[in-house]
Amino acid sequence: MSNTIILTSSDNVEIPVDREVAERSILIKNMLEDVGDAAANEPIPIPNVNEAVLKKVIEWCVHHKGDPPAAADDETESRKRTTEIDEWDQKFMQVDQEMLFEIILAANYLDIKALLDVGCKTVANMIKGKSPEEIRKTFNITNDFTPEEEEQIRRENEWAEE
Amino acid sequence: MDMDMLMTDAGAPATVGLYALPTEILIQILATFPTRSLLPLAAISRRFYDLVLSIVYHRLVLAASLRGHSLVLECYHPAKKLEEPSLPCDYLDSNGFNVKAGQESHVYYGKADAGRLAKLTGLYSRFRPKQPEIERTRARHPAVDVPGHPGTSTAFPPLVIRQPSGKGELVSQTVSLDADEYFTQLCTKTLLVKAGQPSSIFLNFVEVTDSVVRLRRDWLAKQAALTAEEEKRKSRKKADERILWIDRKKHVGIRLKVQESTERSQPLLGHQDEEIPVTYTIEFEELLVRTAHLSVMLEQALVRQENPSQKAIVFGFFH
Repeated sequence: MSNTIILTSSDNVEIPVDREVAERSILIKNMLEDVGDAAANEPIPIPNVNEAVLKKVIEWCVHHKGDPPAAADDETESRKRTTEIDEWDQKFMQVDQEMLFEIILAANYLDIKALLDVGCKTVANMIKGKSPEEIRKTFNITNDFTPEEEEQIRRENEWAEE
Repeated sequence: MDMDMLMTDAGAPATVGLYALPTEILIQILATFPTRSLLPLAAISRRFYDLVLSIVYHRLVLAASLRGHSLVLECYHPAKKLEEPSLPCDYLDSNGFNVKAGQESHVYYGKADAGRLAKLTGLYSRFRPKQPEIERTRARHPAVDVPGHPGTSTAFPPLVIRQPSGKGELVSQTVSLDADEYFTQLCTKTLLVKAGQPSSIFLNFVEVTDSVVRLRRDWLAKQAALTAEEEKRKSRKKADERILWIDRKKHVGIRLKVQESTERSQPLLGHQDEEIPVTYTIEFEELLVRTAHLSVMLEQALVRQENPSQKAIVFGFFH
């Protein structure tokens, strides 16, 4: 059984990676199980992720290689999840917005739950404490409400003000 | 995981923005916000409005189930704080949420415009206060229990504790106004209590509301008339007018049945325009709690119980 596998990015770049590292991705792990060892030497196409993003994702997987696997069922409604991010991950996520969203999309596609979580928390922290206008500016979002609608929404939420 | 979603993104413009993320991920991001900080985000754009609405909706469904908590009502005359028992409340239902079937209601569908949040957060859950199970008997002091005498307990006698009886039985209190009084007061507290604790010890609770309400003489008279009219016609058309809102923001209200007590008859002497002492029996038909407020309070309760270090947690995460 080979310990290195080859991933092919959407822009046709072949990236060798430790099998153990690649298996942080549930998608790849399942794929490898399905094809069996015989085909494991063939490059695995990752058609939705380009080289830059794939390398970044692999970098994350390498760093988190030894992490304990996520709890089998942590989707229960009351589960605790802080918005705190580990220091290494914080630095890792210091990328431009486009890369950040690409990483999140790739983590979602490749089914790497912990990375998806870090990505979501990073975006949540970019939203936290900002006014709607500041958030629009941060993410280049167009305000598609009329001033009257905006005022209406403000009134709708008055009940929750402390 | 969700390949279809990404396939459609393949045709998206070169610059990947926040809106390139599928709805489920945007929801995962926003689900880290407690409701109070989440609601203002609805004003960002229509997409955000829909996301916030969807998260709030699911939280309200969860809140309507009370998530292992129960509601307790305390209601007493300011002078009777230590004597009145806390009233546990039975959950009746939550308008707009089919909790049992787990089905999404149509409450916020239809028109895709602002105002849907208001509709959603304007829904109430109904509870019925009941007698505590432990029988509490208190001997009244005969010497000071003189009707009409200022400062006696008759001005606001203790709760009539009855044997736990049929379901139709409502908890009631007696309120009295002396001739010179234009209003009496009720301290009301609603508490969220972690279920399973002995009803007399609430170690873990969050105050939903805490306020003092005035029951004005004319208001009581009007309520008594309303109650009588409804009983006579066997209708509930004016049931909403019988709600005593106990806070300014209408988070909590008590639907009352008010009956003038016949115990004290009108004095034979006295001018017509002179106020007379009156006594009313008020029955607590229902306790209404804004489901959205209940949700906010449950979040606070859960933060306290599960996360004493005050870190943020995900409230009502769902897929």
